[in-house]
Amino acid sequence: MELKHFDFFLNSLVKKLYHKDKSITNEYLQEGVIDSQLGSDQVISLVDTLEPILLQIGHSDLSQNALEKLLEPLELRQDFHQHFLKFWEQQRDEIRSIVRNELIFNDRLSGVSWRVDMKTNSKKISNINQPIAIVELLLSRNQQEREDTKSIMFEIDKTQISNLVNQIEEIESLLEKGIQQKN
Amino acid sequence: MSFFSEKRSPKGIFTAINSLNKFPQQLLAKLCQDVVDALQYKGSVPQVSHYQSELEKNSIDLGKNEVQSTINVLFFLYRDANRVSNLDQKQFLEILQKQTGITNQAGKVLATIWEREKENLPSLSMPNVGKLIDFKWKVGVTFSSSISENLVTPFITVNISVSNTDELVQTHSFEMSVPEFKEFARNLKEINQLLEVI
Repeated sequence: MELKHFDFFLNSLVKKLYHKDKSITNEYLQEGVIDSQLGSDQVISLVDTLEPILLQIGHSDLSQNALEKLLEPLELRQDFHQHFLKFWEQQRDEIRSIVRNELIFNDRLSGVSWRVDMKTNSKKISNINQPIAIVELLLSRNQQEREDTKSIMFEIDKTQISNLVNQIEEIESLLEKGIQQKN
Repeated sequence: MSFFSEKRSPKGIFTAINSLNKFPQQLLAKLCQDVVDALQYKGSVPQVSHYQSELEKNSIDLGKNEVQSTINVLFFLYRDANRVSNLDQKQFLEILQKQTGITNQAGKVLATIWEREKENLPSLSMPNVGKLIDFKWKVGVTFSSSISENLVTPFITVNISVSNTDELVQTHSFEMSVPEFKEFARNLKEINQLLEVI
């Protein structure tokens, strides 16, 4: 097996485990390494070895050191070993984000879009041509491997957005404190 | 609040139309066209200073606020007319004349432009745009889960209440991870800055 095959396995298994790509079967993997000398038994064995590691490092957000320890008993070839470490370094943020999103069981915010309009309808003529923002929030929920999305649109004026930003800043400083305490 | 369908006049409409009546015909037609173009996002909102100086050239003296009110009232009228289905030129003119004290001449200018542009005005009624009534939030830290053991991470949960055009209030709840919240915050701050500047 060459490095490119090993890399192919790592990438494909991440697609299978974290991106829930159902097309990544053992047959798919076999076809992907057809120019190697790997037999189907060896492919299965490799999958059985790599999968638990990939699952563990992602779900527990393990560090490079922790991964090293996990890889030790495998006695991988030096270049495969290094490649795995480098691979994890590159993938870690994205996988952490995927796992974190899996923890949001209800609706999560999947998109924000907005525009600013001039208000052209009001009880008082003097209110007209006041700027107003129209905000659309897209909320998504993972329902049985589909994603259901609903859209909520509302208008918000200067005063309201100012109040909202005050609250946002309160949340931000809370998060700052929280992160500092953790470190 | 509908003018053409329920004949309810917003406060200040008489004064605004009074100022509008003073416009020379051609200038009024240009202003109407500018407003209609702005409503189609084809042009920017008409400038008060420009129209003030054009009026001066015709020896008509209107203050900034008065000129602004004429722009406002045209936006209001065209937008409102657009909400009413099948409002023809004759009805448009009739209602204007009955409800606002507009002169015959000025009314005809407005109605002509209405007739010409009414098909082009975008569908401005957005039945699903509500008003933000309430915004609640909480920040929690998930320290364990069935999916992952080590992921000690804050989540921000938001509860927003929106009233739709029928005055029904709906509450929606959603969660954000920290990066999602940062993106949300960035957007809101951008909106805030824009609204402050305009």
